[in-house]
Amino acid sequence: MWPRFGIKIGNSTLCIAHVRADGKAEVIANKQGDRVSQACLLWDGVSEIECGLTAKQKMATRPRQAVAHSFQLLQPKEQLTEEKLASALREIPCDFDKEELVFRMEHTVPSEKEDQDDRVVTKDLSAYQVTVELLRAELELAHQYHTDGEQAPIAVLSIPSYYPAPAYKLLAEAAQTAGFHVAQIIAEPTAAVLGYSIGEEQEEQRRHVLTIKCGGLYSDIAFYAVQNGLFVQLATFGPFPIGGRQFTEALVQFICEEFRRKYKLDPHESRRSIAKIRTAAANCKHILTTMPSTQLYIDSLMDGVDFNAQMSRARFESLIQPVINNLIQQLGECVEQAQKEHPGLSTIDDIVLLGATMQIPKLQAAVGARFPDAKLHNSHSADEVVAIGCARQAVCLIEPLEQQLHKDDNCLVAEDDLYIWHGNDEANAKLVLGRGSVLPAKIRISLPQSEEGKGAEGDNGAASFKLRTGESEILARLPNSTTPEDGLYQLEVEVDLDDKDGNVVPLVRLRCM
Amino acid sequence: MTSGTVTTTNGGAVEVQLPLKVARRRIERVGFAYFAQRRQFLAPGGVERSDSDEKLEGVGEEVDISYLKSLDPKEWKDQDHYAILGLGKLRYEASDDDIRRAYRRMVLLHHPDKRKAKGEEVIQDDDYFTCITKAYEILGTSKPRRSFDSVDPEFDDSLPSQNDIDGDYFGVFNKFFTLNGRWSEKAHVPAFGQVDAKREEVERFYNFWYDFKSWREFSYLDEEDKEKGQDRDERRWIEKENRAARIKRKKEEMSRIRTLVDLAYNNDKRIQRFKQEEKDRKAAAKRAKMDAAQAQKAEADRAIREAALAKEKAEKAEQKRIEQIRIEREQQKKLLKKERKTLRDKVKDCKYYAKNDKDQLKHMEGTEKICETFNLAELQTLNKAMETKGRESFVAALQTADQKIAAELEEINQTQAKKLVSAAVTPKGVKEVKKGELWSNENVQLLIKAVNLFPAGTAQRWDVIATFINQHSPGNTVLVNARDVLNKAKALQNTDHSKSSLKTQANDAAFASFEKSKKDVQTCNDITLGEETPAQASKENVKQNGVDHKGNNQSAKQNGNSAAPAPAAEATPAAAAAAPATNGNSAGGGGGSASKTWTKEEQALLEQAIKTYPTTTPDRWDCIAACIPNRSKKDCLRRVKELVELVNSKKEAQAAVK
Repeated sequence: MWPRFGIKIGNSTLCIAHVRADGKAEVIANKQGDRVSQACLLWDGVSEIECGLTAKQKMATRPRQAVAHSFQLLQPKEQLTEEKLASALREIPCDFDKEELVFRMEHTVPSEKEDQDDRVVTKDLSAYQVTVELLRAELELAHQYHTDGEQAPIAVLSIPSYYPAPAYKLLAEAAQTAGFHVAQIIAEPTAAVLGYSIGEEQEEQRRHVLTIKCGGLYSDIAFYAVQNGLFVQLATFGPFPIGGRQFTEALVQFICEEFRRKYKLDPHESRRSIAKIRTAAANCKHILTTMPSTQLYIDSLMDGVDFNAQMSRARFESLIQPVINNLIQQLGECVEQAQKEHPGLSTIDDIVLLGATMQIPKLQAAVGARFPDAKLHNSHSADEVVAIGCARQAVCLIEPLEQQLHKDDNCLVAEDDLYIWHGNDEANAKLVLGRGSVLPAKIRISLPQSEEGKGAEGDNGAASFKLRTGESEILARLPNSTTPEDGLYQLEVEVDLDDKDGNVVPLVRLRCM
Repeated sequence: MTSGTVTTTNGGAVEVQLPLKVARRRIERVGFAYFAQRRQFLAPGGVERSDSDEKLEGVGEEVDISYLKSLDPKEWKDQDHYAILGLGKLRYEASDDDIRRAYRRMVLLHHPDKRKAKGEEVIQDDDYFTCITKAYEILGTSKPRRSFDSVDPEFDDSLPSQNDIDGDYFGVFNKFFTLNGRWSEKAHVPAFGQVDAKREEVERFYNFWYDFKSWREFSYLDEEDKEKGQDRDERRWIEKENRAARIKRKKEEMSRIRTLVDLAYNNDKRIQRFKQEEKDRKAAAKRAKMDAAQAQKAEADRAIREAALAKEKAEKAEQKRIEQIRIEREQQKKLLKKERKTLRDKVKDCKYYAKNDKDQLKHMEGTEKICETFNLAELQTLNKAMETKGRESFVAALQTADQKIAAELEEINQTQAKKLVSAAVTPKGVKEVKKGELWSNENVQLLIKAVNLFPAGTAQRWDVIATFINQHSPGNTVLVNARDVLNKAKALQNTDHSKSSLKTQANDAAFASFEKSKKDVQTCNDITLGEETPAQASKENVKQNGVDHKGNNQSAKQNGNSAAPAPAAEATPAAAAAAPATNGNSAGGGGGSASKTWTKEEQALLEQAIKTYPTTTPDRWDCIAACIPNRSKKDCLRRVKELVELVNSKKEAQAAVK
């Protein structure tokens, strides 16, 4: 059953974490030594398909053979609206057949003889197949720790919060095909909240958690209420088309301007030049999340002219300011709307950041400034926290072999506390159910015998207990209960539900042990 | 403020409707808390119930309280923890669950608090309950349990005695191996099996036990606890001691197992049986092989014997036949003798049919002739004829005998003549020529030289000599071989030296030199006057042909060209020049005779060359010879020598005249 794995799969990256023997989750680095793999796939024109960084690097030169940003299309057909498709297709390097919903990769085979035309071979892959391929690459990483030949590695996968329920099933099937045993699929923000182990102390105090995800293409926002270690998703917003791509694009525009100003050449004319700039810009963006400045150098950008510029973080931040403003504004709107729907959501206690783009310091600072009272969680790398959260969830599973695909459970929760005591001994009252406990429940409790009740009940053989919830008190007489020797009543309290005409009435069953 | 209804139900339970405020929430199925709640809901009291009292019933056996009381908590190491928990029967077979439940039961029964409640007196420090907890401490965790199991006091470490083995071999060893099998690291210990076990099974069993891996370890018996050490060094020391002790015990254990297996193996009737079977099989194979070999040998012997027998028989028959022939011949001879005798007697009796004495002598001779020439049949007919006709037949016989003798003679003559003719026709011509060619004087000289050079005893002497001759003979047109050489050498040894051509040769040479000395004036003339070749040719001829032509030559020299002597005159000048040359080559005239006559041009060239190359020049004669076409070094040397001799003799002659 061990080790278990947590996998985050997204449009641009994948990440896998495993649970170590001591129960801690740890991200597994891939062959290139990166902890996050690129969600790119490249077909070599014959039979080989490669995934990851190498595929991404080759994508610049062979875009017709590469698939990227495919995960957004891993949705049931009916969910893929025209609008969604249109926005998705902008980011896909190869052709996409809208009718068949397949990626059509083309490879031009140079003709052997002069007089023949070059042959074009194509390969169709559905988003599902692409996902399988990408997960297979992750499975290889998992096999470093998973040696059991018979049992497929148990994994918990994440899925963006805005994905509909049928997509869960698709993802689960893809992962099964790739060779994982999918124990559960959870929403990305939930995983991130778990990743920071918020609510693990099971405090009674209700806390509100805001999660902001900003990934490669989209961002989304979700609100959670955490009480007694239970998570309730209050609201989700998104996806908004704000992501790493927008930040990179801001930088790309800057570079183009600079280049045109310096050399009077427009890189927009050449798709290859743009691809080069984009790669360099993405790289620069990553460096500037950790370093104060970097050299931006593009070899032979256009017409053999190199581009070279010093890029400081301040300059970069000024370039991306509009995008950040956009996101903050979006965030403000969401919070407002959420508070309107959930009046309890007046304060936000924790903010969890997830998605690689949220690592940009300026963005984190902007979020922090927007919610000065909240605790900003950013100790984990924002692109790994989801995988870590998934791995943590994998630890919690009771029956890992049983597949759990529903993201939440419709439960009845006690809104008030329930106390019980013997006789009139209210001072020794014990809490049976706390606020926020899930019903039905069965609790064993031992109650001390009340002093004054000792003689009173001795004769009729029935002990009387009182239950209180909120304002109401109920007396329950338990017949045939012998007075215990040590003065302690061993009680079994079962709080059950009685469904009366769709009206749920809680029912308490008391039994003396 | 009391509200709500109370409903009593069976089983002593009460149901109460509760105005508890509830709300529906969509709870994320994540986190420990959620699963904790779910677990309660899914399996209410599942874990708790397994511990409930009714389930504890039937686990383990009752433990004698006096036994427990007798335990000293300080001596925990020597106690039987299984017995303490009431698992004395199950022991190592007890599952973890058994142990846990047994412990719970013991706790319920013997916890000091419980006993106190029962009014028992409990001394807190020195209570036997400590032993129970200790027992659970050890048996409840896998590692200490293993080490305790390893030294289980109930385990019988002994080996079966020879008596047991002899008594019930399979029973005893089955017991012992099942007993020891529990230490195996591998599951599925093969069974010892019964007397009729298959060979593979038995082999598998012994293979398993001969590389038996035991998990038994003896850390439980450690003298001192590592943790008791005061400091690091002491702990280390304790650890070291303990390890040494453990290793020793482990070794003992391994040797014990080994001994057990050896014991089983050595006494195993099955193994003996297998070995015997193997042996039998091998012996049978060997025997079969030997039988086959013997049969083969016998067959061969018989064949040989038969062959020998047949041969003997054949020989005997042959002998018999020869004997027969001999006897026949003897008989015939006897008959012949008899006939001859009768003839002679008869003739004698008849006084040789002689008319007179002369006749008598003639007839006596004739009788003998008849006896010699006539064969048996003829003699018999003659004798018969003489009975009747007497003299006439005798005379006729005489005549036939004469005729026969004459015919015989004739025949002999003819064959001899034929032989001579045939011998003269072919082999002689070829052989003679060849021999002549082969053994020129030069070669003979070389042969003598070689024979002296390579004395008897040289390895492959005659081959060596042959090679020597072949290498050194100047006109080696025909190669000699060892056989020729040997024959020639023998011939030389045996032949009369007076007849040897060598001798004549030597004589010739001596005469020639004498001649030269006498005629140097003449020769000088030859050169100075530019006398034509015939003169020289004649001189050469003189040299070769020997003494007989001396006179002729003399006259020829004096007469010049006009009066040529017999051999030279007959030939044309060119032919005369060619003749000696061919003679020199083939017939092998003397040592220097091979050279052709020197023409004037050649002479001039020679003189020029001698002047050009002074005596100091290395390879002088080679260079000189190179200057003159068709002349070898040897020729040049010889010519110069001749010239020098000529000049010298001339001087002498002049001196003599004065």
